Amino acid sequence: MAHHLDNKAVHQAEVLSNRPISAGKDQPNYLLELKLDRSFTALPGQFIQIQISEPPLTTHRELEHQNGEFQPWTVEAELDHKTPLLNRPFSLADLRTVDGFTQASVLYKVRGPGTIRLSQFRASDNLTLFGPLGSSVFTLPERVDRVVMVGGGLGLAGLLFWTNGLIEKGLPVTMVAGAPTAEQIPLPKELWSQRTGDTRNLSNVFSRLGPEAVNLYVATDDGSAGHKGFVTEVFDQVLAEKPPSERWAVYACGPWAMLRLIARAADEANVFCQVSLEEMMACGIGACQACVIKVRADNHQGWQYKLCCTQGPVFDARTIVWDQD
Amino acid sequence: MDQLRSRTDVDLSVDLAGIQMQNPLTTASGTSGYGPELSSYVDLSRLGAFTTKSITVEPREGNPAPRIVETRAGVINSIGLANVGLEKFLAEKLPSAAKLGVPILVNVAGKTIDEYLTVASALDRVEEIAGLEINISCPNVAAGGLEFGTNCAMASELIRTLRGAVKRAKLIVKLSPNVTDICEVARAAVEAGADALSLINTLRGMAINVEAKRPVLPRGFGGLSGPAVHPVAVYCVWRVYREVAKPAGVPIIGLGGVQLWQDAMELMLAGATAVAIGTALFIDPQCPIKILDGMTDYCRRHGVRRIADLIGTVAPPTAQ
Repeated sequence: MAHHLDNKAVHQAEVLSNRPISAGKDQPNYLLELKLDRSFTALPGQFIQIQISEPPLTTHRELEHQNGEFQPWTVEAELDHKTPLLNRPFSLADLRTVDGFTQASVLYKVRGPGTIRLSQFRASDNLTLFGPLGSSVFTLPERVDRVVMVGGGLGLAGLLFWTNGLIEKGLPVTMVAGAPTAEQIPLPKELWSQRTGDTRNLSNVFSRLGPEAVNLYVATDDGSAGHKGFVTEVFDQVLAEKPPSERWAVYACGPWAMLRLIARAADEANVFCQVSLEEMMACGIGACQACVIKVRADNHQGWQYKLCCTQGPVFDARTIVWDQD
Repeated sequence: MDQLRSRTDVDLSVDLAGIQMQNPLTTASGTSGYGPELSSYVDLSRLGAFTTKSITVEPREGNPAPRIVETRAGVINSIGLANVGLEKFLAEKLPSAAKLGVPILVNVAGKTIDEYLTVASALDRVEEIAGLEINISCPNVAAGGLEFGTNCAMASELIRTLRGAVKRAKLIVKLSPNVTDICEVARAAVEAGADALSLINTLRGMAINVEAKRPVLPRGFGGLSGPAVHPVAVYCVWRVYREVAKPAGVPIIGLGGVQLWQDAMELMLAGATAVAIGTALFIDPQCPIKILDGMTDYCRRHGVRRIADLIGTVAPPTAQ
C-alpha cells in the first residue's frame, strides 16, 4: 500500500451494517461496516473522526413521518443544540477494497451519548467522516520473529487492522485480550471460547484470527473467560517464555495504567514496543491543541507535549513520560 | 465556488474599522490553529478574514491533559494558550496564513503589559497582518489573560499603552463575558483607543466526574464554548452595540456558539459587523461555506442588497 499520510479529507460513508458482536447488554461492543469511495485509504494505526452531531437518516425519516412531509427546518432544529456535539475519534479495525469501493470496519463500545447515537445508524444511512488522521503509524522493525498484540478492553480494536496485515505477511502472532467480563471481550465468541477455529461465518475483521494464525490469550477481571486478572499478568507470562534467540515486536492499545506496565515490561526485556494512545480531542486535525501527550525531549524540562492527533497516535513506548501524576 | 460568484446580487462585504472583508466571517482564535491545519478540509480564502491562535512572546506548552471536555451543547477547554511563540510564529506560521489572500487577524496574549507590548509592536511591523486581537479574556492561564478583561482600570492601561505603540494594524479588543457588566469594560477599551471590539470569549465553566468526585479538567475549570453560549453572545453583542459601540462608531466581531447561518444572522442583527466561528469548526470545518450560503439566501429573501445594511437592525423590545 502506498503511503497515505497526506490524503486526509471529508468523506461520505454508507453504512453497510452496524450491530453488536456479542450478546452483552451492558456497554455492548458494536461492529460498524462502512462503504466509502475508493479514494479513502489509511495505514494501520491511523484513525477517523465520525460526525455524530448529525442524527442518522432513520431519525430524519421518523421526523418526516411525524410531520407528514419532509421539513428541512425540523431536521435543522434537531441538529441544532443537541448533544452529542463533537465528532468522535475511532480507530479502524480493518480496511479492504471490495468491488472498487473501500470498506472500513469500526469496532466500538456503546457507552455514552456519542456511541449511543452511532449505534442508531442503520444500513443505507450515510455518515460523514474525516480522515485518515494521524501521521505516526504502526511500523515493523527488521527481522521480527513474532509479534505480540496486547489489547485492554476496546483497545484491541486499534490493533486489528495492523494484526490482519501482519498475518497476511505470514508473521506468527500472539494476542492478549483483556476485558472486565467475557461478554465484553471485543472479539466474537467463536475466537476465544472453545477455540474451534471455525471462522467461516465471521466478519472480515475477525476471519483471519483463527487458531492457525493467532495464539490467543484472554484475561477477564471476573474470571468468566481465560485468566482471572489483568492482561498485563498474561503479557508477563508470554514475555517470560520468549526464546532468547527470537526478536519480538509488541503493539499495545488500552487504558493508560495498562500501557504503562506493558511498556515497562517490554523495555526491561529490551523488546520493541509501540503503543497507540488516545486523549480527549475536539478537532482531530491539530487545530484545537487539546490532545497532548507528554513525551521525553532533549530540553531544559526533559519533556514536551505532542499532539496525539497529528503527531500520533502511535508512539514508541520508550518516548512516553508514563508517570504523569 | 462558481455558484457563489454568480450571486452578485448580494454584497456580503463589510468594513471592520478599515479592514475590508469580502464577507463577515472569520475564524475564532484558537479553533483553527495557524491556518494550514484546516486547509485540507476547507478553502479558507473564502472567509472574510482569518484569525490565528493566541501568540505570546515565548512559546508555551500549555496545560496538562485532558484539556477538553464535552458538556451538554458545549465544550469546556483548558488549552492554556499553547503556542509556538512570537519568533517562530513570524518565521514559520505567518507566511502560510498570509498566502490565504484574506486579512489576517492575530490574537495577542501576555502575562504583563510589557509582554503584550512586545508582541503587538513586533506584529505591527508586519504588513501582512491587518489587525491585532488583544486577548484580555482567556480564563485558562494563571497570570494575565482574564485579569485585564475583568478590571476596567487594567484594561484601560493596557489598551492605552498598546494604542501608543501600534501604528498600522487595527486594535481589536476581545472581551470576556465573565464580568458583571460587559459594557463597562467595552467602554474602557473604546475610550483607551480600541478600533474594534470582539465578543464574547468563553464563559468560565466546570465539569465534575461524579464517580471519581474530581474535576474533569486538571485546573478545575475552563472556558465554555459551543451552542450553549450562543444566547449569551447575542445578548452581550446587542447591549455593547447599543450602549457603547454604535455611539462610538466602533465595529464589533460577534462570536459565541455560531453553528448555523441563523446564529450568524442573529449576531449581525444584534450589532456585529463581522462574525467569528469557533467550536463549530471542530465538528465541520466546511461550515463557514454553508453559513455563507445561508446568509446569502437570507439577504435575497429579505430583498437586502448589502448585508452591511442589516447590522444592528433588530427591532427594539416591545415591553419594558
